[in-house]
Amino acid sequence: MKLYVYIVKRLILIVPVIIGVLTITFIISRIIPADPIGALLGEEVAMLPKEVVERIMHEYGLDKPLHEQYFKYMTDILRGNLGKSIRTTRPVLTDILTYFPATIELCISSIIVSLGVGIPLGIASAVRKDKPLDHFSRLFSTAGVGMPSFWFGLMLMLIFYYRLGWLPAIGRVNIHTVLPPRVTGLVILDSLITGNWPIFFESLRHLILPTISLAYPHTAIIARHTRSSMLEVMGTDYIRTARSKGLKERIVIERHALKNALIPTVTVSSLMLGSMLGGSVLIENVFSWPGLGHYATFAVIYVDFQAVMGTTLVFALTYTIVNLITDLIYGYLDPRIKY
Amino acid sequence: MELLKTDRKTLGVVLLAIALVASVGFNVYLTTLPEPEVQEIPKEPKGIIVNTETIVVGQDMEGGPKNYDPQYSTSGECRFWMGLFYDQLVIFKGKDVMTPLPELAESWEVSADGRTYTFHLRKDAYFDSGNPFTAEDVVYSFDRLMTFPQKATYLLSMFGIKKGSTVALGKYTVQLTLSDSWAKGIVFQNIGKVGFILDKNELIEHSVAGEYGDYGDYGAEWLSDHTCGMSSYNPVERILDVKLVMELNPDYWQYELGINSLPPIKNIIWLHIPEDETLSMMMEKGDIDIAAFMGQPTVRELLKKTGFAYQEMGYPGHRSLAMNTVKPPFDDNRVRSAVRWSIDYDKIVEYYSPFGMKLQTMICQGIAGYLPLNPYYKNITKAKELLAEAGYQNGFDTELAIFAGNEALAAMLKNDFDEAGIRCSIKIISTADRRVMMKEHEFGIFISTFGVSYLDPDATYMRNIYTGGNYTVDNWMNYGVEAWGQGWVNETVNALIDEAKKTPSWSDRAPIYEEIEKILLYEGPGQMLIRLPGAFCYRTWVENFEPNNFVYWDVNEMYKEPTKWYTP
Repeated sequence: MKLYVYIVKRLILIVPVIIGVLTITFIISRIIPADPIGALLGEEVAMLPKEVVERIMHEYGLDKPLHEQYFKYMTDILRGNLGKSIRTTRPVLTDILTYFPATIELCISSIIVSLGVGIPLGIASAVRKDKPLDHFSRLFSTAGVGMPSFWFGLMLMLIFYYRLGWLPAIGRVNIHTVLPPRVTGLVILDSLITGNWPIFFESLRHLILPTISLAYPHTAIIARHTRSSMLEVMGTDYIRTARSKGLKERIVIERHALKNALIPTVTVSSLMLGSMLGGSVLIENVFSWPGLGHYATFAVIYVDFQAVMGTTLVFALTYTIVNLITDLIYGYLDPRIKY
Repeated sequence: MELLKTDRKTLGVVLLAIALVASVGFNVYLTTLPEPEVQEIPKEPKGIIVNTETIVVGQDMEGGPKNYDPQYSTSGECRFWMGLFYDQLVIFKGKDVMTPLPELAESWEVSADGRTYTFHLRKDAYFDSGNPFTAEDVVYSFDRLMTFPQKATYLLSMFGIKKGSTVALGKYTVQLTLSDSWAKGIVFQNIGKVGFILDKNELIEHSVAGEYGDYGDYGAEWLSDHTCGMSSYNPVERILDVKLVMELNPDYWQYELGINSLPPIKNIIWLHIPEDETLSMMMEKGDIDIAAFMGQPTVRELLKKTGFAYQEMGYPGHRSLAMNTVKPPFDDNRVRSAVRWSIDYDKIVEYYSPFGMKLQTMICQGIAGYLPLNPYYKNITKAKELLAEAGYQNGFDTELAIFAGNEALAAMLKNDFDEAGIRCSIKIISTADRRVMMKEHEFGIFISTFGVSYLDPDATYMRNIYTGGNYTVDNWMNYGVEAWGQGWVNETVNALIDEAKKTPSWSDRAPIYEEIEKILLYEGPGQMLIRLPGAFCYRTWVENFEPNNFVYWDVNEMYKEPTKWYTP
């Protein structure tokens, strides 16, 4: 029961966090000296009659005082109305529902790869400290952290698409393929749901390069964190006790060391999601991946206030929910943590 | 244990040494072998198989259409798409921007005073819905353009056209009345640019409640996801800003009536690819047939390889300098002249070779009224003399603002300016920054990269020079960005611009523009550097690819030659 109370409390606390984030974003976006109508209409704005420009500004609520714009926006959110994008002329919610699944798909696959490769590599490095595998892991991690992800993505494309012809360059499916009927917006899932196996495998192939590009720096960080926390845990008294009881090393690592060593890794992983959402902007650009990062980039360039606020809301909401899940995972890993 | 470790290390070193010696020795041995006899083994053709029915275009689609409503579409790619979904009264072909050709209008007359345009319409055209095309559709489309104002509106509003300016004189005759006399060339160009004809009955049927009385929302919501015209190609899949797939519509009235034969190209796929490197790789692999707006350095590299060609976009682009004449030091024409005389124009042309052309007049090559005058060259002595005359014997400091992508040009200019004593710091700005910077007159020199809205000298001047009318800070939005920002008020030039745009015939306008150009060349607020149109790089298996000035290219003429290519 206490756990449910804790979850409800945390969900309620998300509200002031979101309000704070949106307020700050609103203030910043209105403070910067930018002209969204000018950015939208380009040079043509100079030629339009003044009343026409004023009418367009009225359509997007930009002619109202700032505090009115703010209150209207916040009350509209409660009704699920994120406003209309100046650039796309569509409801921002429609745009987000169009683009967000692609980002989710990319981020989920990247998280799986980061954790699936990073944690075992970190464990192996810790267990084989100062051996060739540890040295390789260090090299791997240093390169991952130091290398710009978009450059890495281009290099992967150069090798695997251009030179070897093994993998496709851009998009979620082949150029000539029509996407499967939309159920969730995640092509891999939708193709499974609709039983379209060719598109399922095709979309997996298309996911490989962007996933590796986005996952690599995070894999490196996770590997290093896991290694250092494993080394710390492996030096504790209870691990020495477990070994002295005659337990096999594999049992010592898996049943005794790993759970406690993973607590800092879980923390890093949740922070990693925020970084991935931000990093996806560059990767989506390189691979023409139709995700929210791509949408957010255009929103910022065109000073599309509503779209900027909408994407900020989505990212903030995602981040806070993942933080909550992370905290719940702590409780599972460490029985000392009570809610 | 220690001994074992030491022995292991020693063993490792020894093995490594042996491997090194062995590899060197083996390589030496290889060089001593006699050259083998080369046998010609016929290769099975491999490489790119050309899909002759589909054209794939790659470009940065940032400026692409957001919906199927032609009101929102004025950029090149927008007009291309809208040109496939809608027909117009008149069109233009190839590079000729002076001669309108009939499409939905069979013929027309222009009154002697240049205010009234009467169009006689085709009686056999019809929409995709099956609805017949009549004068009512033209009236509706033009009234919509003026009543439901968006980006495209200004191109007709500047003629004083309003709702009610277009009237049906009969079922197949429509008359458009302007508020004033205008040059015919400007009027036809803009009708050709934004005068897309919508299916009135279809759109009224799908309109929802809105602020336009009986017309509701004017079909705005419907046109988010549907076309409503005469489509030579239908959209079949669209991911906004990412991908558009279009399929040939064999029921298009021009194909059905045999006015145009069915194009060989059955599908057009348009892809958003913002990175030049990705575009380049996909071009080489044959996944893309045409790359639009690829950067010149990348195009240059591709042109070195077999199977690539390049064509200029119809719409010219430029690089020019805009100087802030509102504040010192650029309020003094001697300082502006010093800038003009300090630039190495040939070096700039060489840098952009083979794409750019030297240009020092405001009207560029390809637009009527161009004068081949290039009086300036790098003359630092003269530049310094002019600065000294203006009181800047020791030079001065200023800021050179640029958009990203112009860093190399900025560096060249900075070097030239430094020699003359004009010390620049380079600042990279965004489009939004530029508007604010120009509005507030807060800049020194800016490298402008403008295109024009229509291919007439008037468009160039309105954008860059014209400060006539009530030129005050309250009206800044009514002026071209550079015109306002530079703040150069020359009543003679303003009056000449006003006179030229109202002169119906070109033969009477040409001398006026010649006079304006000569004033601008020696007294103007800026300096043209180079004509630099956008580039289409394409695979040479695409035949009859001819970019034009209005709708990118005529897809009806294009085809792909079936062949097999060896991968290099």
